Amino acid sequence: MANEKPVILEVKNLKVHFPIRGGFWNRVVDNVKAVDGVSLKIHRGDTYGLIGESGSGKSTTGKVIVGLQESTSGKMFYQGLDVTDKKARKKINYNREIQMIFQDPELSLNPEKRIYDIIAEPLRNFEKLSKEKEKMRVINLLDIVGLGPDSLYKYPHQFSGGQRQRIGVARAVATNPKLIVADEPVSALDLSVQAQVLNFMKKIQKEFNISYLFISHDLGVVQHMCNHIAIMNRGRIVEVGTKDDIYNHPLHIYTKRLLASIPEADVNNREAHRQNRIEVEKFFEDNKKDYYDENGAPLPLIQVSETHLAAVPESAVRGDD
Amino acid sequence: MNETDATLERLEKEAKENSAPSSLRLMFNEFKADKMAMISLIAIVAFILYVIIASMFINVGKSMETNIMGYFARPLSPGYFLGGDAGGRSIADQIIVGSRNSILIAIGLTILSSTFGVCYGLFSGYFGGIADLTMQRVYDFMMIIPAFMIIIEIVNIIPSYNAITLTLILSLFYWMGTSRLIRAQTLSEVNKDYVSASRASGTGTLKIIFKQIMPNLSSLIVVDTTISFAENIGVETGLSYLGFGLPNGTPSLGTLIANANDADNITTYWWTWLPATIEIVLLCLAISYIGAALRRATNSTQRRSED
Amino acid sequence: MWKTILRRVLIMIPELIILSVLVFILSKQLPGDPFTGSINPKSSPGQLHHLMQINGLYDPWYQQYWNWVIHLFHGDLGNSYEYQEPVSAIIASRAINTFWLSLVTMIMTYVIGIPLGLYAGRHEGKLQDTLVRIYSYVTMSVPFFVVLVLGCWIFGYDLSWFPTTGSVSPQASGFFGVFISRVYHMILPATLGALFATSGITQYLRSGVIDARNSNYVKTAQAKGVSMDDIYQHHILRNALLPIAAFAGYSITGLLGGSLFTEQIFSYPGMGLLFLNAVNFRDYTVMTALVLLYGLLSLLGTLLSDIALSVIDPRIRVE
Repeated sequence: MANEKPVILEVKNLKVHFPIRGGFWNRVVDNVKAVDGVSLKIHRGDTYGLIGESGSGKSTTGKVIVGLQESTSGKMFYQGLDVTDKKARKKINYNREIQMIFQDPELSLNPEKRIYDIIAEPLRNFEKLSKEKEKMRVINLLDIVGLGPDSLYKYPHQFSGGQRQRIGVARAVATNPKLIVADEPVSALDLSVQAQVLNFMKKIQKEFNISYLFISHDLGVVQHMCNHIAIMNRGRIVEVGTKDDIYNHPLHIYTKRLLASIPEADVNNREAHRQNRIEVEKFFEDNKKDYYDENGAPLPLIQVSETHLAAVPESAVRGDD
Repeated sequence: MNETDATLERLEKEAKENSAPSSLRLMFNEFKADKMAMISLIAIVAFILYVIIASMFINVGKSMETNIMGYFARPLSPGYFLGGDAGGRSIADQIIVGSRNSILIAIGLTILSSTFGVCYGLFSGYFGGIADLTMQRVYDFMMIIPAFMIIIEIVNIIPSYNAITLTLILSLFYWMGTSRLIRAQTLSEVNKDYVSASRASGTGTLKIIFKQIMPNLSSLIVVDTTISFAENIGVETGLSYLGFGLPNGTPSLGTLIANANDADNITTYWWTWLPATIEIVLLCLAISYIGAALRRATNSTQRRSED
Repeated sequence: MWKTILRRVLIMIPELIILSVLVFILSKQLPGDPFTGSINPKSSPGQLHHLMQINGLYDPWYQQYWNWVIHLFHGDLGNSYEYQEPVSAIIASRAINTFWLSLVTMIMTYVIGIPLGLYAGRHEGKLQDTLVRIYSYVTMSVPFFVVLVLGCWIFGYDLSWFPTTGSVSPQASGFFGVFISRVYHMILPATLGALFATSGITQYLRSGVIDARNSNYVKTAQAKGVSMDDIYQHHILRNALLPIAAFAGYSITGLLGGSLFTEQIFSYPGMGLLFLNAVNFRDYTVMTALVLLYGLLSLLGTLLSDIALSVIDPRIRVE
């Protein structure tokens, strides 16, 4: 079923390589291929999950999309407009439409700034509101994330981790962006608080029709939030599809491994679950060489269905489904 | 409209009641609780004000004229409260005007070198890469050159100079300590997410450096400036002591202490140099004490309540 | 490791060049000829102009710079107009004095600073520690030359414990007699000059001792029954000495800068006093040579320390 909604952001063959210097003259001897050919399309209203372990390149991809990191090659399009170049982004006030929620609630809010100034920062950069209108808007945003106006003149250290993340969400929503890149927004929070923040994010999405690029390593959290998921490994996307495709018809061995490792609070089937995990792990080790090329990089993606792509060898597609 | 205004006012009041003081304010509150430090601060400010005001009543030209009658006048003799020097000039007058000169130059030097040092450290730390490397090389080089000797050379080359130009020249050589401190702190701040968040919010580079990062360094800057002030007093006075500071005829604490160079003076006519020396010691000790108290205040407010 | 050392040495070359250019530019502003000393700087402007023309001082600047550098490589620093002698000879005798004074100052720094630091760390929180901390605070706050003046007055003139001028007593005779006299003359200036630097070492050692006392390996040693004395000597001191020694090179800049004041106050015939006299007598050749020499020595000192620090593990509590 083709997605009728318009495309907000498209990334084509994105590569981000970090040079490694060595030798006497500090020449570039090699590259760390953080992102090595990633393409994705995010539609209006999507919650697009980008999953992978640390070092997979998912955070870097997120940073490129927000404009915090320059790409080495590849192209990026916002509503059809080429925004690969920094100047192009500046011209259209790109960050008004594409915002970010950061992972660490301790570090993502400036400890020397009051909440009012923190949330108002994007407003002051992109919209010229009168002082009263600005203040009302900030109070409004605080209300949306469940915080009272008494927070206005407080400092970040006066809030808990969960509250700080909510402030971060309020800041991201301030200019009513079309896309928010959420980089592991709940990974640093206690489990009980995670649900609360995620629910606020969902509520905001419905109310303002915002798309999310939800970056995480936790397939369990993603299941709750995302309708479209891409799995990243070693700088490339190894599988991408709808929630149903990924959770019910996983094809890549890495995806299967990730799914098997989702913790389950099912005491009675504990042993079966553990057995399954060990089997999947063994299968992964045995068949690794088929799924990765001679350099250790994942294979190119093959279209399996209209929504589902996987970086698997031809045999796997023909074999099982 | 009125209803929204009223709501806004009420909310504003609520918010203000719940506000907390900034870290600088916290530090000063902590500092105010330190009795000794407050006494030092008041004493120093009082002294500086006294010196500035009193020097306005002294005719410098007349005071610096030689007066044979007052040749090494003893202290507490009429007209010579602190005695007279070899030229019969009143030591008391010289100390007041000299203190004013030396202190003002030290203040000017501190302001200039601190400002430059902070900016240098901020830019060096924020931009990193080639800019930082180059700036560090410049820093290394400045640390190598013999500052005093070069200043003395410059002072001898320039046909004429006054207190202001002297301060400018001095500030070329004394910014390095501050910049190193600031750079180190900036480097650790730059990697924190709130800086990235500011960039993603569209804030310009200069605003990020001065409005986002610098406030996090504010306590550091205050402590460093205070301690630098104590050190900088020694710069102009040292130069004047050697004879190369302020132009001849302008009194300075250094020129007074230089009276100790003569072997006779140092014991027989002790009043020519001892008062100035004692004054410098007390002044520097007091300022350093305030600096140490500020640093203690910063450290104790560092650990705020975190959840 | 050799790569780092080589790279560090190579960086010295542009630093040297810039230093020489800076000195050159500065000295060009002085009247007469500060590079060879062949022209009396006190002549009238008319005479100066004439003399300078004859001696090729209106050649393009790069030519003059190059000539000067070539002369430097041959060890020729020009002639002092005041003394009508080669500058290198004049400096050489004074340099020895400054060298010895600086060396003794550095030794005093360690002799005073290290035991004080260890002592204070051992008795943390007690009266002894507080006294040492007060001492550190006082010597660091007060300007360097003021400490020297006061010390000279109290110990030199008032109490007459030490001589206050010169490097050696004119009555001293015999190798040993001269040696003792020299040392005797150096003790007061060296000790006073060392006071400022001792605070740094004292604080460093003090915190090192306190950190180590709370560390696991010392607690283990204590539990095993090793005496505290042994612990201090074998474990703590040894670990701290290496970085302290490595920092020695950096202190050269400070020592040289301080020599101006020390030698002035104590009338000690070294390079510092030579420089001050040269300025007063407008002996520009000597001035220029000394500025260059001081810069060069600082450069070498920082180079040695940088290399030493990169050789020993920089993780050993070196900030």
